[in-house]
Amino acid sequence: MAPVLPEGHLHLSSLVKRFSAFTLGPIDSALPRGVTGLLGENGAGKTTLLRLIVGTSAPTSGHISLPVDKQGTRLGFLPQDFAAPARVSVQDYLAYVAWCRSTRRDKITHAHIADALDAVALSSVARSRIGTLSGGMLRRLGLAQALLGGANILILDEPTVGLDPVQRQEIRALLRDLGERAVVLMSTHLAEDIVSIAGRVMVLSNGALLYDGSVGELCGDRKVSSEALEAGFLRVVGHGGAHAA
Amino acid sequence: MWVTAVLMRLNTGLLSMLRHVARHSWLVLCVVGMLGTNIAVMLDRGTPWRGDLVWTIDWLTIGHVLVGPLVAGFAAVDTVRLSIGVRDLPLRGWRNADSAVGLTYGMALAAVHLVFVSVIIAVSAPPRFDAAAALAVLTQIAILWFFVGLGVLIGRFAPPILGGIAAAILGLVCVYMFTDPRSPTGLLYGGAATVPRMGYSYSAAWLGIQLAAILTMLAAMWLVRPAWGRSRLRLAALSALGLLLAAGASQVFAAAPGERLSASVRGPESCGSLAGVPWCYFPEHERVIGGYANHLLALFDAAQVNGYEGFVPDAVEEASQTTWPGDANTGPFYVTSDALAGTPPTLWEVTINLVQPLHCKQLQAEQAPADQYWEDLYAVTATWTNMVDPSAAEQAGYFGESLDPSDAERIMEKFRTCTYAFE
Repeated sequence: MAPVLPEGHLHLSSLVKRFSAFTLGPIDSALPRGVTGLLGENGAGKTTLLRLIVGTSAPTSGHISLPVDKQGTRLGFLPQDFAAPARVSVQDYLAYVAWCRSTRRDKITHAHIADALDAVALSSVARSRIGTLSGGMLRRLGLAQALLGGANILILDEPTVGLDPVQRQEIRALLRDLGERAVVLMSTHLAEDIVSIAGRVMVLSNGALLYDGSVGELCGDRKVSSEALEAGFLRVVGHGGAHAA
Repeated sequence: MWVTAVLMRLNTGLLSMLRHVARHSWLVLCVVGMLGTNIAVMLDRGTPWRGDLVWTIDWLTIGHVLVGPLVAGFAAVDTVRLSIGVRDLPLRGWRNADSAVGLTYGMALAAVHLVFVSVIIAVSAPPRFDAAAALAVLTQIAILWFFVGLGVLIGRFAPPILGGIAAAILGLVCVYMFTDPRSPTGLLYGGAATVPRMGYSYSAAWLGIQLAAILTMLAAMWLVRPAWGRSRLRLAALSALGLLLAAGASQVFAAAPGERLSASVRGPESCGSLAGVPWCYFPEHERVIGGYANHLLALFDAAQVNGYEGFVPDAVEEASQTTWPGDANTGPFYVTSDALAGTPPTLWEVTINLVQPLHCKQLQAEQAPADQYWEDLYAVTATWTNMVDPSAAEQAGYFGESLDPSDAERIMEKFRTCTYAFE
């Protein structure tokens, strides 16, 4: 008999992606509503895992089940190398994405675009060309397109890269709010991101999932802080030569 | 208020997408290229198509040899360019850069073509309309869509510049390979007529099959796409289905009965009298018929005055590409492309068409008539033209003497009764 999965979770079941010289997984996890951080060294497989979940890459084996609510599944994704057409205005680009992401049932409207721009504090540059935006603004635009239509699952690949400290704080506050109504999985190199907004953390190393639990547990006996999280991460990675069961 | 509400709703809808693609693609350049080509084609050679509905509609597609590859190239480039910023996003359903480019290009080019067809028909003012002509125009639009689909297909697989060049070249190859009207592979044949179409009408059945085959090809091109992502197997299966569809469509088209144009049974309907001789012509040629009437009147008068009454036929009828007077006593005349382009008909050409016995089966055989036939034909023709204008025969390159009435009548009688030794 198939196991009963709790509703509103993102389920990863025996997920494996094999490349010629690298294997991700097997990964089993059930991510609840809230922000989950994804930590790992460069090349650990973070982006690969996110692309598998988003569906822009096919798993070698295993299964992914996206959270469903009354309106179905609404997936927002911020790619690591997010790029947008330089000559197009912010508003026009979002309207184009809105058309692409709308379905007969779920129409993304002008009001949704305005909300997304407000959320990432880009309303003032709505009519500016994307080519004139700073790196941080472009990152926030990427986040805005992911937020369109009220996503119930957000997959964010390093959302705070390129942001200044003030913007980072604002985006963290936004993601914390979003975590109250959506499953948010966010890869990052910044322990501070996870400590400030994530309740849960996954640690990947060399394609293996070495830790999948609360931030507090990873910090061990120490008070939750960036230093404690980094120490916990290093401890897990340092002892994690084999794949986690 | 409701207008605002509708506009707000449309803002992220189809209109918003169309506006986005129109503003940020090469579509404008493509449309300008199409406009320029169409205008040049329309004004070329003295607009000889005026009046002839089939020729009018088929004339415009002469430019498709350029427009098709141009459209394919630009569509390929824009498919790549407009996928920036949405390529990596998890899009469900059919809405993506492909469909955005396909829809916008498709609608814009269809609109431009329809406008031009409307203008050219208004200028042409044909006296008759044919419901199948609408099907012909639809098919021409579908041919433009084929080139859009080709560009979008290439754009899915190739980088922008290379994709654009490859799509344009492939478009040219398609024009070269699939526009032969007599070939079972002439799927993209949309007319491109440089000669009059008088005597032909559209075959609705053939056009229907062509339209269905092109639309199936479009569906097939839509299905073929790179197999990546979570649905790799599904995409690969769809691509295979697309190829199967394309193969099926080409087979069905190859088996289409008949040809795009079928011989019309309609004869010349506008009738009158020239010096007592009844004559009929196609109302499509009303604008140039005066030149022919003047020559015919002069010829009939001269024959009566000079004792060559036997030259004058009982009636005169305009011949078309597929119909000509079937009896010996009705003289034919042809309205030529040159005349339709504004060059007045010559006395010689009107006369020789009246004289030559086209109703004789011997002339419809594959074997050419003997030299003596041509000598006699030219002699009779020159005899008649010399009565009206002594310089006409020499201008046509004939320098022989005129025949006396009895010799001329002897030859004409043999022509009428098809007893002449043609071989």
